[in-house]
Amino acid sequence: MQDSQEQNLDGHSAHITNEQQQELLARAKEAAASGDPGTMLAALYQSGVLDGLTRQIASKWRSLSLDEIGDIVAEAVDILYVAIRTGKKVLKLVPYLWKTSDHKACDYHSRRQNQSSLTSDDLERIPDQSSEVEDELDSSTKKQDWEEKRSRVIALVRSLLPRLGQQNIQNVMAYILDALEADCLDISNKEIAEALGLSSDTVRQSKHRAFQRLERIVREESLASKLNNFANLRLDYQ
Amino acid sequence: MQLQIETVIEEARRISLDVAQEVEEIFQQGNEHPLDQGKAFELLTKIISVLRQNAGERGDDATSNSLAGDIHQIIQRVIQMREPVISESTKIKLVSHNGIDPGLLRPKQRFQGVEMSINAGYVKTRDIPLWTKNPRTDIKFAQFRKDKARDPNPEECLELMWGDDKDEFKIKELAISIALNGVRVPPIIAVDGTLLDGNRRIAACQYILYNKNQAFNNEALKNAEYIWIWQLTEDATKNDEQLVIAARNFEPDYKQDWTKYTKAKELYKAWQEMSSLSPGNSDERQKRVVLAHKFAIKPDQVKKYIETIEIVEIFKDYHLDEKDKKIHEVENVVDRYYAYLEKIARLKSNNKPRKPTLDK
Repeated sequence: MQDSQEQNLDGHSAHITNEQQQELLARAKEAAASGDPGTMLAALYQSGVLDGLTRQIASKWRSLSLDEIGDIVAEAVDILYVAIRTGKKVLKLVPYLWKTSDHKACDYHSRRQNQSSLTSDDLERIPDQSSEVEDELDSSTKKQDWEEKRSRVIALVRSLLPRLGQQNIQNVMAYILDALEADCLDISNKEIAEALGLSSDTVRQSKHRAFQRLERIVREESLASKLNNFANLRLDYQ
Repeated sequence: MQLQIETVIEEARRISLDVAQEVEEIFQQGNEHPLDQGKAFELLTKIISVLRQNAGERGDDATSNSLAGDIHQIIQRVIQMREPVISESTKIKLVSHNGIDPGLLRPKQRFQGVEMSINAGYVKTRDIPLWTKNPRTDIKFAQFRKDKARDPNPEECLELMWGDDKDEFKIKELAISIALNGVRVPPIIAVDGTLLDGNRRIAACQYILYNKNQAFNNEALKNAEYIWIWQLTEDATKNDEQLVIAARNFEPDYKQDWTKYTKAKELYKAWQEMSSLSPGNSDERQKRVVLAHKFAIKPDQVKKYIETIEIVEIFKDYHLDEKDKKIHEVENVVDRYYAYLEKIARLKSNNKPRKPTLDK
């Protein structure tokens, strides 16, 4: 009986309509906002999103095991739940879940690559468990440090906005930085377009140019500062 | 500092990424390839564990309390909640057509000795997906999955069933019969539309509906558009479905097909009647087309039957008149060696005549 049920669920299409899907996602969001994770989870599962998310991660990150993918989806659902529960802006659940999971999958992947590049000498130097606790504390301190620094860095990036040129480009980037500062994990072109009274196409182009220019400015600044340091060094030497 | 700025820019890029395509794929994957219950169970266990643990760490009592209790029971409840959504939305509804309403089939049918309630009614052929796990077609579909690393979409399923010129599953032959007579043996589906019996019939109907090269007329299209179907009722279990599959595919139907000779005689009789009714009509090809239509076979086969019977007549005359054999004796020999006579007829048709003998 169990086998045949599995075969049925696995083997045959179990389509639900778009309307049903949207209704279930709305129910999931409402449940999360009212602190009812069980109902949120049931609605997410009923919508088929958890299945689709798992399969999508598996097809993009082929090196990850199903177990790791399960961990990633679990963490993403928890982050989503906390975000909605604490009143953070979450407009659409699926893009939010995808971006969170994709980012986590990237972390898992990088971690695995770092592990696989360890030599036998490295393995001998792996610290014992007591130093793992220290590492954890260290990493949590680092995280806290970064949280504090992050808003200063965002402010610094914001100060570069006038150098991006066209007003639309500046406005789009400013909107994205606002979202970042508010810990928003997903922001769509449509949302930016509606907020700024632009078309989605304009937002897409402005975004593209904004990032291109920002990166160029940062690169140039870095080069300039290196050249500056070099020049100072030379002067000292002379 | 540069690294920190780059990190922030990367974060900004990530949150503002356009993921419409990925989201669409997630919906599609979830719909078409849901996790089986075992994997779903594992995933939900992980999610609930993480939600519980982090709620505890945050001191979020409401969330912790909401997820308190036996984790397996919570998951079971979540899994069970999905079933009605799926079955309600995937259920194929039987409809009225040509003034015939759907209803419970009487008397009840038995499959492998088990009596089952069955609804009968019409459905639109295009609403029934093919059963891609059918063992008969499994090799072809498995090959496709291996080559393309995905399942075939509905259109590709049909192309695979129709095959190339070889017509491996004899769909085109069946389509000719359905075009003329409609679907005579109703396919059987489960309540969610899973095809339990009748994959070839559905593929043949779809072949007619696609009507490549405009080979089928309006009557044929009408015969294929809606088909009379049997559907298990909601109280049918998965075991019942297996019984239907087994009964329709393993159990012999004890139908004794006519021998080729019997079929050839019947067809030849019709050929002669037709020739006597329109003696002036010398368009033999046209006559063969009419007969092919009448007997639901291809015109080439009509030609083959006629040519073989002509050889059979020579054979019979020779043994009845010159060898003084009895008619039933000769008939029995012809029936038994029909394939050989058919071969001779083919050779004769290719201008390579051979004289048939009874000894041979």
